Amino acid sequence: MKKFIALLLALLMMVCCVSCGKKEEAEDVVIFQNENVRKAMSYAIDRASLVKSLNDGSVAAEGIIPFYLASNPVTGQDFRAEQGPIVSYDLAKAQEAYAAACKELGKKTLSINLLYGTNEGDSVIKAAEQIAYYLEEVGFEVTLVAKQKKERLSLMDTGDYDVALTRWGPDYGDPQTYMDLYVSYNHSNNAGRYDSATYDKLVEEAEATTDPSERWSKFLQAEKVLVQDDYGIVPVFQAGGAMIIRPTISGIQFHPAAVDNYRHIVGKDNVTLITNTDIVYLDYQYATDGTSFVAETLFTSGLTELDADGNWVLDLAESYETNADGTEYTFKIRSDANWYDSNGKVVRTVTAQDFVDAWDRIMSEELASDYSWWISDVLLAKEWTAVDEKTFKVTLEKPNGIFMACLAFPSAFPINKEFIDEQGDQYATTAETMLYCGPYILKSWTPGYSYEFERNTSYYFNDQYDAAGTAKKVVFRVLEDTQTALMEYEAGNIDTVILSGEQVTANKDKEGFVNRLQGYLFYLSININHYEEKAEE
Amino acid sequence: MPNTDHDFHHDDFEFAHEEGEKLIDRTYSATSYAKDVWNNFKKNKGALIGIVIILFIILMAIVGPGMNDYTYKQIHGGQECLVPRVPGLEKLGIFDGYHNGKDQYAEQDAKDVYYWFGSDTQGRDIWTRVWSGTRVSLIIALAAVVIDIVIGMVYGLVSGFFGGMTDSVMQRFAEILNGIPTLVIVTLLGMVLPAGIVSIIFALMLTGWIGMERIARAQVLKVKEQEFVLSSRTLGAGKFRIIFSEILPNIMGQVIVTSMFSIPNAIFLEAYLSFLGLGVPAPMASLGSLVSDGYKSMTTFPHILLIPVIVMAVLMLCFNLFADGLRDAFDPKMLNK
Amino acid sequence: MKKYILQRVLISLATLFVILLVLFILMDLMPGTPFNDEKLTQAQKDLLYAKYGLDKPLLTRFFLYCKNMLKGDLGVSYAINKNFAVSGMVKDRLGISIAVGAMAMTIGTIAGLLLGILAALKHNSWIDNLCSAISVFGVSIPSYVCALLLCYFIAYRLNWLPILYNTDQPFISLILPAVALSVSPTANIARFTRSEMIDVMNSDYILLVESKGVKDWKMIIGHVLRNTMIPVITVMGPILVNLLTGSSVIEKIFGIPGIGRLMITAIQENDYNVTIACAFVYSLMYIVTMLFVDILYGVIDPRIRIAKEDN
Repeated sequence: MKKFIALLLALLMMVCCVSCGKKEEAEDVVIFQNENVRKAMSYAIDRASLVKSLNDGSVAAEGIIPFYLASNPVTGQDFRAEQGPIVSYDLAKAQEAYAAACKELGKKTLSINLLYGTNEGDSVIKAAEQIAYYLEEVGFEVTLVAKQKKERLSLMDTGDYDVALTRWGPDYGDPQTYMDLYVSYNHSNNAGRYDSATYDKLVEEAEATTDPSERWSKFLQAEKVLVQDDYGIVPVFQAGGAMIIRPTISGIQFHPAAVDNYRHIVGKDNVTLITNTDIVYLDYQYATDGTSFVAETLFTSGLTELDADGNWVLDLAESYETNADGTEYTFKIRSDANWYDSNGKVVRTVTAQDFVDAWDRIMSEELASDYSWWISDVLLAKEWTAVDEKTFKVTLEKPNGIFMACLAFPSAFPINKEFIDEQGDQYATTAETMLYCGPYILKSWTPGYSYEFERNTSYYFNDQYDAAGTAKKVVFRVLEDTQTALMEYEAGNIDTVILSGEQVTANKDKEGFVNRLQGYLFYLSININHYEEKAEE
Repeated sequence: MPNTDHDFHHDDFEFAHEEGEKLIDRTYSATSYAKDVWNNFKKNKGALIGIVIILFIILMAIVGPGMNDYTYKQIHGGQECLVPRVPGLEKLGIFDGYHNGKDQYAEQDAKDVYYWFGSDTQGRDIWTRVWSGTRVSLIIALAAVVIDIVIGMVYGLVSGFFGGMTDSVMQRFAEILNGIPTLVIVTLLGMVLPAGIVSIIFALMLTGWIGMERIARAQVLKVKEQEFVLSSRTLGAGKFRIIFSEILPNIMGQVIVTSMFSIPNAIFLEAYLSFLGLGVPAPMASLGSLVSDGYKSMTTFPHILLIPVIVMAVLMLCFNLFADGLRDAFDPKMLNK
Repeated sequence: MKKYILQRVLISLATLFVILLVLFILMDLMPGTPFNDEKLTQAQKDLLYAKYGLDKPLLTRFFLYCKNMLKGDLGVSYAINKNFAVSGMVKDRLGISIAVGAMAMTIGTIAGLLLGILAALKHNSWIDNLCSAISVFGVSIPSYVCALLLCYFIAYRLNWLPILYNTDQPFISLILPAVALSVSPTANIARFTRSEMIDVMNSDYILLVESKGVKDWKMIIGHVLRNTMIPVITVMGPILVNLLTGSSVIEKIFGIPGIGRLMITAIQENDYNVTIACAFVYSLMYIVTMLFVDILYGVIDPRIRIAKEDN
């Protein structure tokens, strides 16, 4: 018996060693510096078929900039429409490039490991399988490497991958949010170390110029260089969001490149919405995820707000002035803008100092906020002061076309410093340890289950809300399973439901079916130079 | 009755036999333990049916994927979620490709296409995937049973038999290993080991045997104080002889039956492992991963789930019939009946 | 007996300590950090490491953690609900998982024992076969499939019970999840009880009891069941722990904020403190249950009790 066990163990260890040895072999030669390899990959993927198979409302990518992210400052045309498709499916070209690559590299077949995340949604898993299939059709030998998201990110960070299916969600409606990622010195995001002097120069020039249309055309050129000339990354698809919204309610505003606005839901007094993730943190200066941001825009207001079309309108600011070159903004804050506690009682008025405190706090090192760059790199704010109790003045580094719209983001919202100091560690952990200055007040939050908002009846906009018949109570129910969610929707207990790709065919003709295109763009990150960089170390 | 009243007769001490009767000692040919087991097993009809179906499924797992022109990873764009359609049977009104009263195949412009078990959400042939998945799952099942029996049983036997300090130390070790959630252990394994069947078996080996170990130990505790063990000990049998030839056959039945129940656990654990990057790498399938994928279509295209679940259930049923037969066949108490 | 129990309790405490240490080391080996979000720069990550004291050596952190744990402080969450006290998070979710688990265990034990006893009493009849088939299907169909079937037919079609968990009617809305969860324990317990009971009924001492003329039902309860229960309790222990510590799939399907889901999220998010806390709760329950099982052994089985007392 003992002998038998020993034999078994030895055998197992041997097999383990053999399979480990194989893995190292595959990483031996870096093939991705070869442009034809990348070209073959770009042309190999049948994006139209892929999104049809995902069936969740996703659309085929035409470039790295998603649809409806930004529009031309002069003509108002969408970036994507103006650029047109710069990636396409062409089997013949892909095979040709593959053959050329094999010849150049002196190999019979090229094998790649395709890294993807298993807990990033079913669409990612399906997409990875599809991509692998299309690459194999061209001749690649593909091994799918499934990892959890955190591990995938960490592998990409250290450069231990060949090709990875990854995504980027835009933070604001400007091509810069994507273009910044692939400059050669951005080691946090440019995992594959795509390195092109032409591209770097175009992006730098675009960011330096004060002429909006020059900036626009530089970004158009930069995208072409990255995607079409160098195949530095391979865009695959833009995430969709098939869902059903009860036909009786309306007013949910979706913004692919900003935070969705749930402040103007009409048609029902008590609305229950489905969310598949919970709030991570109520402190809007700390939050990093979409779910938290949506909740935060309900209970806190900023100087501006986005309307249904994604254009900014004044919110807590009553009026504003700007100097001739657009580098100085002076806001007059509404006299009836107040802080409220969780019972809806007025604490005090919102002052200019609250904005100064907020921006100081988010930029401070102690807070270590992930979104401090919002103030410095997106708003381009250099200085901010309280001129008097209700006058807030901001000086910008240079004119910024998206400044007003980006003020509608939670990272730019005011805080009540006395209250935060008083609450200490407990701040923003429950509904009671929070102050509100928005149209809704958080009534309760049961992590993992639900969070509920009630309309703030003393809010300055209250009369207009009443007139429009805006929902008095908005409840978010956390639920991940789409099949029970759909049953619950049909039983009439919830008002929205997010559909998985499997459910779309059977439900796409139902009244209230919408596809909310999201800003997330999924693409293949290719490890072009990171292996080499590691070897040098 | 007093003895004195008894009369003796002259034929009291004669053989009570008829004249001419032949006295023959009936002798039985000595059968080996293995042969006894086999003879007993043969008598059990359920077990025989079980083994026949298992053999059939094994055969299908070998030849099934080659029976049509599809491969397990071939994606057919535009032919997603088709319901089963079998030539011949379609004329009978079953497996005719109709879903909710509509001919799906005609709608997808695939009139001459047949997916015997339908196609999945990515347009892959379920027939091929189910049988190649069965192949993977059978290997895992076999590994699970072997690991359970070899490691779990031996560990439990030794721990239970020796008792005292040995038992205490061995039990604490098992407790520590089992006290850490499997999930934490396999997540870490997912980082170290490459994806594949070897890794799955390794993960099973680390955690799968503990349940069996506890059962084997409990059985030993029950059996070891019984008289036949005592008699063996008095006759001077060594410890290992007692463990393996006295106690083992007596607990074998329970052990085999229990080990059958570890099969589905192993198969479903594999599905979870592929989520961690440890299981069979996609697009390869296993019964477990087919079931967990099919779950997502349960309310819309139930056939995607139903087919692997049926194969799984039938396989399990047969394994159990088989195990029951084995249990009865192995049981020394049943041998002489 | 008292001395034995005391000894076992002490050993269990030591085991728990070892498990905690092992968990700590394992956490350290986990891939990635709690903070490697796509949008963080290296400098920001370093800052976060310093802020949460993750830059200190492993052992320092371990002893600090142990010290705090004795005070009931399990640290704060890094990723799931940033800066939340982990003890509060675990407490809130554990209660509900225990409720579902206990319900499922009750259903599973009763149904499993009934099925098993019935099958054993009618050994080799159609009832026996039916019970076997039920228990085989019970283990070969995963709980999430059962859960969705129950949801669809009982809650959605027949409208007898709520589809999802809700806090307004916690008991009613936990029935379906508990039933779905109990399928596999029922099967396991039934299968095990049956084969144990058949063994016991064939044993000599039962024949003796029988020949003494003890009545059927009295014999079954007093002698057969008592002896059947010893090994059955061994399998019930780990099943109970698994049920009480939550099932992430069932919680996901019914929208239950339980601890199973929390642990999965914590592992995926690398939220060290939450993972350790959840894993430790699991270990604690496991060790405590095993302790009880060992002691129960003694109570039920006179042979073991006497052997222990002799020692």
